[in-house]
Amino acid sequence: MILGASFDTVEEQLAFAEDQSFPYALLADSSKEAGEAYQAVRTPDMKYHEAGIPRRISYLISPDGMIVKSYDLDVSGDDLAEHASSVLAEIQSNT
Amino acid sequence: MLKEGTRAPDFTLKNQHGEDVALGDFSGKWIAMFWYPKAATPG
Repeated sequence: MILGASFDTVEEQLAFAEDQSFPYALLADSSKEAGEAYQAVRTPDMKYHEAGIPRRISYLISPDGMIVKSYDLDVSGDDLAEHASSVLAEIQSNT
Repeated sequence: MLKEGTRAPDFTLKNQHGEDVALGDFSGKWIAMFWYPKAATPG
């Protein structure tokens, strides 16, 4: 299951999903509550903190609800395609 | 960043269709969760 999440509203997520023909769920966390829990909120020492946008981070979550792997794309500089391959490789190595 | 080996925090959020999506909905499945800066950016 692939979940995308940002601090955008439901309406913005719908427009984005339709525009890009994304087949997966885009979650609207405009209250930033889940973003806080997942440490996706940018702290004052981070670039673009003042923009109030999430960090480019990802998590691989196992079937029993554990964080198996954390990824920080702002640090690794990976583009999304490179990133998707490493996430898939990680799932395969765990199954 | 949440540490590897810790429990993923529960959440309930609306998807783009306004439906509730919770972490528990996917129990028994692998989840890749991507945070991205803004709808309309490629990630």
